[in-house]
Amino acid sequence: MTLKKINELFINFLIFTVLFSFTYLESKELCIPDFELDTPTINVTPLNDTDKNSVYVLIDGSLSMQGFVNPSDQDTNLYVEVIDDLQQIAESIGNETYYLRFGRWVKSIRESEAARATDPSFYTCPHDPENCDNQETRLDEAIKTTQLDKDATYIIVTDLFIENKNLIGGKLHQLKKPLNKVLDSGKSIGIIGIMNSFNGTIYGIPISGGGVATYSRANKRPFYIMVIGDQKNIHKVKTKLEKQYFTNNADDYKFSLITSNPIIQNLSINKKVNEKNLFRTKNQPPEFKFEYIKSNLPLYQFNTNQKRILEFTIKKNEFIVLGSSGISNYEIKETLWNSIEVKCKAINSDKTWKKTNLDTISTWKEIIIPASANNEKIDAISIYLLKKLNVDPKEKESPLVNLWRGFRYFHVVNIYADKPGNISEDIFKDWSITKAQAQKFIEGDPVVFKTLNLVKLVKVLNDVANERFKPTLIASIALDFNLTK
Amino acid sequence: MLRIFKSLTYSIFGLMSLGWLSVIFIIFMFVGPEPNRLLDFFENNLIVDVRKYGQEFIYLAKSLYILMGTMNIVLLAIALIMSLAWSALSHRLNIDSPGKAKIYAIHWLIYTGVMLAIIVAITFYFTTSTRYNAAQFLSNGGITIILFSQTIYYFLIYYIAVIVGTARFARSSVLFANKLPGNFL
Repeated sequence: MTLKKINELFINFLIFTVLFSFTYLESKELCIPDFELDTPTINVTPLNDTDKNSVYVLIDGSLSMQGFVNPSDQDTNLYVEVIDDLQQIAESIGNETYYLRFGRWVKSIRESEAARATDPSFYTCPHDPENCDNQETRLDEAIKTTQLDKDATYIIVTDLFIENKNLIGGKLHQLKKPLNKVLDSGKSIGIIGIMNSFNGTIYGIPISGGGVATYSRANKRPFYIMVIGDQKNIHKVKTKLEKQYFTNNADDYKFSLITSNPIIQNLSINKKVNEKNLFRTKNQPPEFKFEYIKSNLPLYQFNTNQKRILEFTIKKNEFIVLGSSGISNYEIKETLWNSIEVKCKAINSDKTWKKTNLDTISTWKEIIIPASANNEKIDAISIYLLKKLNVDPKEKESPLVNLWRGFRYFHVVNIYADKPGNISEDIFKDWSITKAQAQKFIEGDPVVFKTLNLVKLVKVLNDVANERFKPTLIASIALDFNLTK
Repeated sequence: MLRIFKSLTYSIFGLMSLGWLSVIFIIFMFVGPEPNRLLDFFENNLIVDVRKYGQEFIYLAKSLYILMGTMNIVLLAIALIMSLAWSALSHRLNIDSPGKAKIYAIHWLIYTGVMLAIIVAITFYFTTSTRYNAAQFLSNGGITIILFSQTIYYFLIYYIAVIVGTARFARSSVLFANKLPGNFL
């Protein structure tokens, strides 16, 4: 009798377990509509550290640079130290280092002569003052050297004091042509600005009514290190200088990266998207599940009522190149399906997924979110999913009220970087003057001298980079949800 | 008592004069959607544009038909109960002198007002509450059409039923009921 009862219990347990397993399997079953994933437009593979190439160091030999090596205040004289360190930095990022001097022309120089760049005589050529190439800064000529070796890294030390005539017409074209080639080959341009003590004369300042003037009363003035090469090497140079000189005085230092591709990575492909991107707080919906499908598509599965606001947030530092001009516009390409059936079995057998004719229904906004570890704030973008379903944009209610309850929805969202930003122009705004401002500026007897046409130059560089910019897929996500009451 | 039963019978006949339409409509609703003029009318006049959601109305119509069928059963039942109740109660009105029946016109108006309010409330409940998912397919225009048509239709059923079902001595209390021939009931 007892054995019979045990048998009965065992059979009941077995039946229950089998039925439960089937129910469980069905609830976890994946049924998605047919769609093609957008092809990622970026697939950055980090270069091997052992792939070292040549480094070219170009030093501006114009007379206006002399004031950096003859300083009035030794405490803020970083120029000499930076020039000394550049040799070491160049060796760390490349296998061979070549030195060049430029003014009106570019001339190859020996290492020993390059070391003289910390001495005033480098800029005056005491042995041959007649033929000394120190009257002009032809940045276009310097940049043209980047065609010598396409794999090399170029470090250009200059005051970037560029006259207007060099930024218009044929000269501008001469500047843009090599830049185009540089950016086409996937290289970037890093501009490091360093405010330095100065004791010398600045030449070629345009004045109203034509002609140029000189100015000698400045005791501070920025110089610049332009690094043209792989982003990795640019950041190495930047990081080394930052660590060595600018841990405490960030005001005397500026950095910007000009690149035709300010996107580091596709977050979905590199599996950087997780459940917290959609549900930042602990307010996770019922039946929530997160997984990657189709090898690199993050899928959020959940049940939700019509009150929930779906906000997908990604931190900018996870996909935008640090120090670059950023992104000024994003495009959201999305597709929404709905199904009157919610169970996978019925969806698959009756083929109930219906593609909606709603094209752009999500919006984006730049936001600032608090960092988890400290009081810092992080720039991010928020994608308000399905936001445009709300007929009245001012309405604060969830857009889900415009979807039908009792239906299952599948939403695929592709987020593209659509237009590059212009942050780098703003970064250097404080240190720049235009031709029109120059006369008034020197009349004000400034102690800290600004750089002529700096913003204009950065704008030219940005324009060249932006012409090469192609919309880049940042992330793709999919939402599979049942809409309940 | 016999008069009351007679009254109720007349009232039921009055209900049936138009109520058969409601019964047929309810049957159609529970049979389910078929591609016909009724479905087209629903699609063109009562519901939101489901095509922007990639759906075809015929696949969504089943639940809406059930909603409409259920609502009409309830409304028909209300019209039936209210009209029969008035017909029966009209025999109990204290009308002991000529002209007194007219005083009860106020009672009838209030009673009819309550019945109309119940019909409107029921229609609102079915077409706007979240209890029935199918209600979400109805457009605002559709809800208005349903509200007006159902109210007018069930009022007419009720009105015909009470005209013919009200006790003869109380007919003056019901609008136009005294126009019936004197030998009617």
